[in-house]
Amino acid sequence: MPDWKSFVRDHIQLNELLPARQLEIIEDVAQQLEDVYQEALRNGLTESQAEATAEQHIPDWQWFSNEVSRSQPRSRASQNLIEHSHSEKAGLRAMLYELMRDLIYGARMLRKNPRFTIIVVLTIALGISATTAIFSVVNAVILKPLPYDHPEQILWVWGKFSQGDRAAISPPDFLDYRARAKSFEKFAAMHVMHQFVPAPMTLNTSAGPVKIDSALVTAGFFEVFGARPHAGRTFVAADEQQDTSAVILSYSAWQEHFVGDPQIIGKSIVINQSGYTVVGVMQKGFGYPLDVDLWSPLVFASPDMQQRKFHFLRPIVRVREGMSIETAQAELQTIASQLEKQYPESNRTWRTRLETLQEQMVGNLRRPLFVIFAAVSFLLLIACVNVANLLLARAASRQKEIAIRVALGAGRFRVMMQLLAEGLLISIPSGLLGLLLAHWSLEAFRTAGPDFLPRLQEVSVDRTTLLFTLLSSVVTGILFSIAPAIDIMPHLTSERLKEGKYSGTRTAGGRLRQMLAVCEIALSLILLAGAGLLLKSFWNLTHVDLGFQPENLLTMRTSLDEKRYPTPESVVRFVEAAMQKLGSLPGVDSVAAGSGIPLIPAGGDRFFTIEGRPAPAQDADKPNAQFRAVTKDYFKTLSVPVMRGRSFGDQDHETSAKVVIVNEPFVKKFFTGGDAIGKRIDIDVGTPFLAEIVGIVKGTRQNLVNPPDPEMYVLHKQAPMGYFLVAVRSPGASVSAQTVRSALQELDKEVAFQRFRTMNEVKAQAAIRNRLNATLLAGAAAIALLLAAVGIYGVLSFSVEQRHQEIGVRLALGAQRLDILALILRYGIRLAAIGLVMGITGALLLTRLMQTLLFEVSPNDPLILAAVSFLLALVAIVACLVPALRATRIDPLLTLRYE
Amino acid sequence: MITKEMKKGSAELLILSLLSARPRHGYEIGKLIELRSKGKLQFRIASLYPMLCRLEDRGMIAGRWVEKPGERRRRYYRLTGKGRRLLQEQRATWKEFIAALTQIVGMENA
Repeated sequence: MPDWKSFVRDHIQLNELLPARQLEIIEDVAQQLEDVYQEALRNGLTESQAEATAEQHIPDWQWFSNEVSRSQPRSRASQNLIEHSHSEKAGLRAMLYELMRDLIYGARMLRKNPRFTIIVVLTIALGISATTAIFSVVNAVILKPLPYDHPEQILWVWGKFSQGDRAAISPPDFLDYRARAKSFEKFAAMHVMHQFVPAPMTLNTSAGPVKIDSALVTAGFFEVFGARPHAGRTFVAADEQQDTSAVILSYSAWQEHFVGDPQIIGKSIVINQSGYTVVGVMQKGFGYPLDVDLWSPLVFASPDMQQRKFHFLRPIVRVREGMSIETAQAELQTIASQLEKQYPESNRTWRTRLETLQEQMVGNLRRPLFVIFAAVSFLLLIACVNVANLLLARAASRQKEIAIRVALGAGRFRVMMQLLAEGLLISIPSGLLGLLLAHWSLEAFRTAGPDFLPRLQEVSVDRTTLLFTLLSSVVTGILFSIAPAIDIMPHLTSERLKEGKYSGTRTAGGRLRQMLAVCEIALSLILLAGAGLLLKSFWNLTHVDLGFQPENLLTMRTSLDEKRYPTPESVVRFVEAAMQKLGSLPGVDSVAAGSGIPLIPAGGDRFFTIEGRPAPAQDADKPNAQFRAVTKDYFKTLSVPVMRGRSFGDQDHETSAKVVIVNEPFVKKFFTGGDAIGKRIDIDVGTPFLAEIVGIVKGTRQNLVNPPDPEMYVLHKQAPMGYFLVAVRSPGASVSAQTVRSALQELDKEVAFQRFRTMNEVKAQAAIRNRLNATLLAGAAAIALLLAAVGIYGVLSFSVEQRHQEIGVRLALGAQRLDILALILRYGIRLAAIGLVMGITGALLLTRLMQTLLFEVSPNDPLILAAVSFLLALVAIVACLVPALRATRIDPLLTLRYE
Repeated sequence: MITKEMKKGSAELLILSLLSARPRHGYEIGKLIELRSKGKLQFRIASLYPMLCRLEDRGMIAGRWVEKPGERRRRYYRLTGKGRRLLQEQRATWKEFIAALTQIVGMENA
């Protein structure tokens, strides 16, 4: 029976037509000839007669081809006409028509091989979902403007002495800046103590006492953010002059604790057993700092607020519209210089700096987030490379189909467009699936995300994210379509392809596949190196010597209300009673309180002078160190070793001689080469405080990253403080938070103790950012490793398949199976080695960008690079082994017989 | 004797008419023309197929591949809305033409 399709293909000439149309016409005409032929047979003609009858239907193929071509305006020639015509509509329609056809054809090709399609779609979907999820976080945290009115105008004001670190501003300085500065629409401040840790309070409600968080702010604070009261008013200048007991509730607190009482304004509420008047309820959704429930006004009348040397206000300002930050900065600088002249004792070398609120909130997150985003982008790239490799393998197996299309006159552009359409058909659904996966993972992330991440609740799949995913999908589709297109390009016009000799092994295709596998290994190594460095950092961080024993310690914090505990004696009485109460609990070994404890930043530093040394006239030139007021058993409870001298004892009390204990970094810095024990220092605590150094303890870390700061410890009885942290040591941390809370409630149920955490939890929290970075990057690296293994396995499998005959001949000519194993392994290992060298080079260049994320590990750590190279090499060898072993099982006889 | 020109002039109308009933494949169209004209009108693939292509390109008919059980897939052509309107126009034109022709030829015969 004649093959009418071949017959038509051999006779018809439709080179001017688009390939898809050519194939349709060939098939249609062939079918009609077949019908004629079959009918002729039914009418009793012989096969040859029937064949002749059918052939007579188209006696002049040249004429027929021309007639058919003329009826097709979508030939390449007319395509040009369309493109150059003024009828854009027609051109667009033709283009859309072709795209549609390409897509339909592509879909048919993908449906033919569902397993292949599913693998590819899942691979890309995973890559896109990871990239989308991380992009959503980057977008919400870094890119999206803050949810305030013109957030770019909101700035933080930092102060600093020329030699010191960033610091807060003193209240009198704040008032001067506010009065003199003209660059700002609003100039407000909040108490520095509340910027990260809102003050806990007890609010009496109809349902009983509840713990709430509050912040102390000046007039104009809400106006800085453009926030308006939902009801009532915000704070005004009069609230700053004297204690008016005015408070403003957050919308959620008003709803939760007062059931949205519309009559709340002017009502009196009880906080810490004192009466306050609600003057306002803030607009829904506003919460700064963090999500406080209540704001109180900062009152400038108290003596503490008159001290220029005490820096505890954090100005937050709104710069005038159109005013540049530089101009505003210059004006503040001018005022700082004026204040320096006016108050040289406290303000010498004092400078200010402006920083946008956005920068302050997320500045230190930018680098880690971008590193993680880069890592997942690498992962997506690796996934693309893998898919490109799969498509290359398929392109080779589709040689016949492509050969037919080329033989029928399909041009390079047409074939490339077809491959691109197929790529998009894979990548767009993958993108949609990825989006869905990202949406689910982000929901989980919002619920269980890290506390340190600001704007966590804003992390979602929004319009920007959707656009990003769409763009990623399209770019991804183009990326992995390029490889097969490049591979096929040289063959598109060659006779060899028409003859079906294209194989994609020893050709550019083979080389391209090898190159892609090498790229995969290189990219994976960079990711692995990054992950390795972060893991080592995390390990170093969690194994750093803290200077104390964090095990079996329970911590909590509180702050005593000045109205209930107005005198230092009352504060001391409460603290001592609390220590006694907790110390008597069964299972408690030891208990202590301090204005600061290791790993929990609190308190601050103080200037001091060393007796016998000339005292600098200006504060700025005086030495300063971290100041801690602690109870007697502080060092015992925290297991801080006393290196020399003694700890606090019963001989130290309110009326005894003042004593101070310093740590080793303090001695190293201020008593170089001398003995500190017995020396006296005068600490600036507002009143004279000349204390003798009676002991030297080991330095303890205030955070995991920085070495211990110089610290001086005084006995809280001699310098009472209303804000303190408590540490309770019990074997196996057997004493529960509930037991401690109940015991403290018995003392004074109005004192709210909060943040009950074991010290190990505090430590874990301190390392959570590093842990998150390391975990995310390690996850990405693990997937990359898997993909690289699949990639190299795929290349080698394909190579063995293509060299089947060669291997058979080698075996027939006497090659040993071990030789064949070595031959294939050599090939795979060579690829892996090139990839490793490229990867190491890339890692050496790129890991430098991670410098700020690393802790006690160099970005070019040779051990990490060696370890990840070894791991990747091992994985590559295992991936090579399977196809290499398969090659050794080739039967030479079968191969030769087949040939 | 029906000449080539007569066939050419009426071919479009014939194809559109046959497709107005239901979609048909190319061979079926040719065969039906032959059967219904009792062999007086015969179209070979060489002349019928380019016409199908032209009609399809002008949007009068639309081709679609259909695979029926036990058969090879065939391209079926159906009449589009545009084709249906053209068929009505052409039918009217041919009616007028034939009426005029009959009248003239009749008068001459009278």
